Amino acid sequence: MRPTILVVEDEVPMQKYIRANLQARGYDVLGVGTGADALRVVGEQTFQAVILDIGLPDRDGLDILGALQHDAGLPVLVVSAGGRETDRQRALELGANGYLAKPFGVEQLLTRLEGLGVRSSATPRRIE
Amino acid sequence: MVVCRDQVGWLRHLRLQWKLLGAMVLVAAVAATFAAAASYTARSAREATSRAARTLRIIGLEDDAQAALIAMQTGYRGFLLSGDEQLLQPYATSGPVYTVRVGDLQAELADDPQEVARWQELKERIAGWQQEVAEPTIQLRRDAIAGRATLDDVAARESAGETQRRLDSALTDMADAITLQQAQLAEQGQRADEASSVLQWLVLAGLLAIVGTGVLLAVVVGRDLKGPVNSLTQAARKLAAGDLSQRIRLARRDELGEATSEFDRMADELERLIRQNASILRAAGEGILGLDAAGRITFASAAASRLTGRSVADLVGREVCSIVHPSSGERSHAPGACPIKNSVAAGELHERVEDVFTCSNAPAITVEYTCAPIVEDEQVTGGVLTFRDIAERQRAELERLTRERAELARIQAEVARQASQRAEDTQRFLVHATDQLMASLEWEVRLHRLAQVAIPFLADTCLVYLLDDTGRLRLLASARAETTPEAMIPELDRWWQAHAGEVPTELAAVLVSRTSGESGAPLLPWTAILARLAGPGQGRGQPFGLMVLARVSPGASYTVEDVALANELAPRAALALENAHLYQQAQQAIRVRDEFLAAASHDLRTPLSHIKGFVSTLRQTDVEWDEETRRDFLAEIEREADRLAQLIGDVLDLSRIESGGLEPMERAATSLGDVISGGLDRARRLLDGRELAVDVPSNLPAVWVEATQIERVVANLVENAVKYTPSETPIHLSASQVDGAVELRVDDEGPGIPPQEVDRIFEKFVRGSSTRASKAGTGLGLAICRGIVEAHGGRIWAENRPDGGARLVVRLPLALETAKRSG
Repeated sequence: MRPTILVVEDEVPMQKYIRANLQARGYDVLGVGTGADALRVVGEQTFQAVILDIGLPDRDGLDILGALQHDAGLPVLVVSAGGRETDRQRALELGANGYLAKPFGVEQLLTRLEGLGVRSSATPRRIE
Repeated sequence: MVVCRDQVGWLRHLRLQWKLLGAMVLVAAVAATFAAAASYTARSAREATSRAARTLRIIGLEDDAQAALIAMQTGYRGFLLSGDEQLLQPYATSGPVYTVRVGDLQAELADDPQEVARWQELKERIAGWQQEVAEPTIQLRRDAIAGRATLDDVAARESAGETQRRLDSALTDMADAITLQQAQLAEQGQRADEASSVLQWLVLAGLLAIVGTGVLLAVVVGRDLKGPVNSLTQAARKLAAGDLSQRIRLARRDELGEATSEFDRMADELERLIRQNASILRAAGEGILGLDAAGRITFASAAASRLTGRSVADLVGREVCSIVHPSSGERSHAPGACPIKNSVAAGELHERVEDVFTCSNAPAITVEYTCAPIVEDEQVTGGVLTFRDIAERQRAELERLTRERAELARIQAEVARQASQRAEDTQRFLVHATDQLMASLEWEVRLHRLAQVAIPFLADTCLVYLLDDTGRLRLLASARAETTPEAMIPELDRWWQAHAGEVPTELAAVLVSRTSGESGAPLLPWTAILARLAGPGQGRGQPFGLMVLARVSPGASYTVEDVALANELAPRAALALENAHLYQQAQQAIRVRDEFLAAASHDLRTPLSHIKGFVSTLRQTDVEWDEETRRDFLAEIEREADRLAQLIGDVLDLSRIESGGLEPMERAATSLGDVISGGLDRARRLLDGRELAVDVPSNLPAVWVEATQIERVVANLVENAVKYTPSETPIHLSASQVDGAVELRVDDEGPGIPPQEVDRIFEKFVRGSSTRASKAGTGLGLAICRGIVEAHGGRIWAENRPDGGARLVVRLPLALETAKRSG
């Protein structure tokens, strides 16, 4: 079974970018735009990891970090466009498994994802 | 002092009525004694007399009995001798008489048994004689007459009968009895005489005793009364003569004692009054001369003596004209021309406000004088001349003025000293207050320092009010001394809100006060200085607040200096607050800038992240993307680059608006309908098929705007409505004329704007709650709208419609109004 990654990101282009790259590398991806949706889907479905944007429209992404990590037992990679060092510190203090500041390239994304212990079984393939 | 010699010690305390009563009782007792003795003596005399009368009666009866016996003897012997029956008659008649008389005698002599027995024996002897001798002899004689006996027989019989002896002895006994009675009578007469003599003596002696007792008592009581009465008379006489020391001091408790002690009290009072009058006369600063009807001096006050240069004793008795001469230095007046004597003579008041008294024995004096007549029973009995040395008064007046001037100078010096002390204190207070106020730049700290700084030097309660956005004064800080009740702060605040609530227009502080006398009495009476806070800086003297400095206690007050000090304190306080406010604003500006930078950085980084992501994706070699995907990625990159460019453009526009660089330079009278059409053209690509209802009357007056800028506003507003409402709800755009302006409204049927955000949505990078946002904007659209509208002299605001949904309103000035205003 392919590992499923939950992407919590309100910016549509960003979600599209992450999804395209992860799918191309053998991950299944479910994207949601709000914190509420994220909390809902982790109760319904099994995920291997979460990519969590801090700047969500309904709430601060870090507010649901604990719920995703402990209640659902998922490793979480926090991403942020804030560009402030305080965001990284807060995320790591709250126990985020990884932090990635926007903008980031594909290599950084994949490296951090692997840092969470998530590996794709499939080799990269050509997207048709 | 008169001391009464009073020897009847105990008597003097007895009240007068008891004394008189006692004397009368004594006299009555003496009289009664003698009356009793006389009565007794008289009774003895009466008894002696009555006894003598009885003895006389007894002697009469005895005489009668003797006479009857003799008559019997005579009749018997006559008959015997003559035989004549007629001669026997006395014998027959005297026999019973004798018996009766002897019976009477026995009755009278009942208390003398010896005499009763004597007469009983006599009676029996006579009865025996009659029976044994007389009756048989008489019978024998009668027989002899008849011839039945001889005379010899008769004589024999008679001699045998011893008649002579028997009768003689009886008569002798009777004579003895009479002699005895006569002797008794004589004795009784003598006793009666003695009694009447005693009675005579008793009456005489009684009279003498009564008179003697009366005299004795009169002497005693008289002596008892005479002394004090004499003393009283003597003392009264001396008192009348002027010896005020006269007192009687009688130690007795009767009426005289009371009268004399009353006299003493009266003398005390009189002495007090006279001494008082004397001391008044002595003390009186005015010369006072009492005059009799003839103008002679009867008394003089000490001042009169001093002013005329003569002793009081010397003055009394002299004619007033010989002492002082009123008027103008003349030595004397023509007869009848002295106004003083004339005044007294005429009984009229004579007054002169200023005159000269020429004195016979002293220098002339300038006086004010009055001569008042004394009238008793419509008869002028004298007058009183009162005069005053005006020169003396003028001197005294001068002295008083000098004294007052000195006192005034002292007070002025004291006031000056206090003022300088006060000035020093005030200066120290102001320096301290300024230090306190400047010690911190923090707004809150300064506000509270300001409330506290005047306590306790200038107030014991202080309230600081500042104008809020609506122009109302709001209580922002207060402080009170420990002695002031906590409730006074709300009390003062309530009063202030109820009575004024606005900053006083006067520049200077205003004094108000409230005492307990008013209705709805305050907790405590208070007085307050209202000092307005007006900044010398940006506000250019416009008041922005108020300090209420209050003293709360009965009798608390403020002086002019306090108000002046408040006027000094207020600008310092205002400056301190203004500085703190500027500091606060600067801090706020820094915070806003930081926030703006953070927001701008985030918003710029977002499209940049997308561009980098897609570029990075395309550069990866491990994945081969098909052509369509590659084109899609490139399109994303282009879109995000555009978004970045627009964002940068918006930021720059906003920056220009804020620095005034986007002033509408090319304004013209423009039809709002045209501007709206242009705006909708710009927004068309964003509408994405949304229903848009436009209701703009064609006859709206022209607005004075730069069309391109207002078109951008319209486009931004429509775009905003699209972004924040569900895609199926319609959007309404309408316009109308309102009060010299044209109003443009964009209504949606979305969830509305949360109340706390209604005023904030025009700020930079503030995006409404994102549940409403389907697409992320730059967050600058409405801020740019506000900048443009305000640059046009218009106004923009947001509101929630009563039937749901949000409304954004733009009001723009009419071209005509603007033209009129500008010229």
